[in-house]
Amino acid sequence: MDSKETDDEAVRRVLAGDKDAYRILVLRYSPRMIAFCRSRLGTAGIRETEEEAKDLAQDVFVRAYVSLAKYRLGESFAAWLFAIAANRIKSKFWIFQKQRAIAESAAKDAQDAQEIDPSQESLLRLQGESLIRALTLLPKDLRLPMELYYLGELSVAETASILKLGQEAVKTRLFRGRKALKEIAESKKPSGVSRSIYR
Amino acid sequence: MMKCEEARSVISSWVEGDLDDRRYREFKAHIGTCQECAFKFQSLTLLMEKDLGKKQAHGPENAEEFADTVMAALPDSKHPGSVIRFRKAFISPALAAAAAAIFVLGLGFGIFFTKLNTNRTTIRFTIAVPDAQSVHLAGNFNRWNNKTYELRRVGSGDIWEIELRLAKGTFYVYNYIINGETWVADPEVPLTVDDGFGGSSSLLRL
Repeated sequence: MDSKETDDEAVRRVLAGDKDAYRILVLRYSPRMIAFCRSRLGTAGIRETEEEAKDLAQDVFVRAYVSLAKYRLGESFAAWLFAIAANRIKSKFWIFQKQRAIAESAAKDAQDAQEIDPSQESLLRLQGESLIRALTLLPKDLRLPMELYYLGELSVAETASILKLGQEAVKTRLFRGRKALKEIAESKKPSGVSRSIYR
Repeated sequence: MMKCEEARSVISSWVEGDLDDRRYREFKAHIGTCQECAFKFQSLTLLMEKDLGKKQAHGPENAEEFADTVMAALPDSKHPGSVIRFRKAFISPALAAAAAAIFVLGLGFGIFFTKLNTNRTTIRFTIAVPDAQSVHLAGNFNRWNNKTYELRRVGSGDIWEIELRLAKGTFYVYNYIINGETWVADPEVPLTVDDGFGGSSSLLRL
């Protein structure tokens, strides 16, 4: 991470009472934090993921701020921050479990509808949603590593520290995740049903 | 020009962790012209770019605006880290007595629903707290801001209330904040969730 030193510098300044220095960290990490939250909520089947994702990302930044003294300087700030996010979303998960079943069937309907006529919507715009739908089909043990690594843009080491796994285990899961996404992508048919066996 | 078959082999290389920049560019060019491959593989390009160390496009978020919102939501404490402690330590003996009283006096209060005629509804949050100086409400409806929703005292008694218009069909998680520092779950609402600080928050489903 190119910004390691400045992360810690910003943290030091915040801890010394310079609240505005926290903005540096928010600006640096908010795009991927929002992307991560959007995916986490999306794969949990939450509607209105855009607003929810921002709320959740904000919640994570506020919580990180109030516990900033617990961050150990010299370690990866990104890993620490995303660990808070992952835990936060875990407890939100069960709240939304009931919504999930509903949203999943809605997502499937949307996917089927989209497959009938993909040209109706810009593929680019659907790219993110389509990815989240595909991630939803992954087994749970692959989903979080994929989201941390690809959407949170963390390193393998950072992902491993959050998941309390070895780096090799993370690499294996990322490989399995990519393989599963490839099969999901290849099974997408313009008119067929692409519900897969990955559930 | 790359063929569909080759495009699939690029995906396979990516799965194996063996993708290079040149082949990725050819692949991008292919899905620019092949609707079927674009349909299948477009969404994977986000992930492939991460593996190639490219800066990702994150959509139209306005980072500055988001940062403004976050900064405005931060608690006032000059020393982050001190903020968390009162929630963990939770309660002083005097406040413990008050909290105990809340559980008793909370009977019959809690939440009242009115005007259930639209997709938003008015919820009256009511709590009885003896000898409180102030009671605030913080939850996911106000981004856990501990100042924006101040309850008003009903008459001169121990009962505090506030009405909020909230959307139906969603979940709300909240706490009352007594005297600006003691966070308590709603004594009238049996459903609670871990608040991440060693305490609990109330869960309300509308």
